[in-house]
Amino acid sequence: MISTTLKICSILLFTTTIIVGGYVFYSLYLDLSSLSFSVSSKLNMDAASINLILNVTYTGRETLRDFTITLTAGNYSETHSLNLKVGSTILSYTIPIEEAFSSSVYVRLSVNYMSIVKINIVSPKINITRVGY
Amino acid sequence: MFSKAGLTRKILVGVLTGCLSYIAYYLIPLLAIRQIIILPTMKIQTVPSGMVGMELFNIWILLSLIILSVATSVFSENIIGVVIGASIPIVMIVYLMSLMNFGVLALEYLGYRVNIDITYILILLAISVVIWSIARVFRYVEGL
Repeated sequence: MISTTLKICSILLFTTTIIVGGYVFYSLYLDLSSLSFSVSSKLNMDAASINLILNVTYTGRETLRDFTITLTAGNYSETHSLNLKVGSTILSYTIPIEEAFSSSVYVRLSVNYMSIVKINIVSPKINITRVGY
Repeated sequence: MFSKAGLTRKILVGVLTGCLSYIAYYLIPLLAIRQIIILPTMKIQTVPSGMVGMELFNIWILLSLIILSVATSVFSENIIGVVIGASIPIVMIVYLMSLMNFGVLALEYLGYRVNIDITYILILLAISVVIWSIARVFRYVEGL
């Protein structure tokens, strides 16, 4: 009797985990594939810092709640936490000029999906180049 | 202890169970992981280190499972056989979890480094396997 109950519990737990896991991965696939970024930068008036604009475009189902975007450039690091809405979200970062040109600049996205799956995505190095003077 | 025919039958059952265990505990999970994580069209450059070079046909795992299953079958009326049989799924799920860095998958895709933490899902799967193994031991105890 106990063994049968345990076997039923085991099968139920296994099946539920597979179904929930599959649903979470499918939802993540839908949401993350509907996310796109574009980066632009300009030198600030004080000539000591660079203003980096990160434009996040999202067309998903608004289920990415615990979503953070961190921009790192050497010792400079700034994190924005946001609940993504359909449309464009503009994030602004002010990076000291020495960090922008001497260190690698990259963006890290962190998603904690339903507290079940955690995903970290680190972008390739963002190149900030001087154009003219 | 056993008649010759009885022993042969138990060994054959063990070999068959070992082959089925290989399919259930190694082949299907590995194919599922490859399908989810290593999609060929994604041109993923780096895959979780433990999974590099993993072959679908691994003779050592197959032999180990056959030997353990034969031992389980031969000693099926003994607590030793029950314990060995119950430990096979636990050992296999721990082995598969170790291949996946215990739930943290790291891969690289077109310059993007992606870390996926599925520890909770793997823990739940491991718990269900452990409950199944405990059920097998209980079944033996109830039959005493």
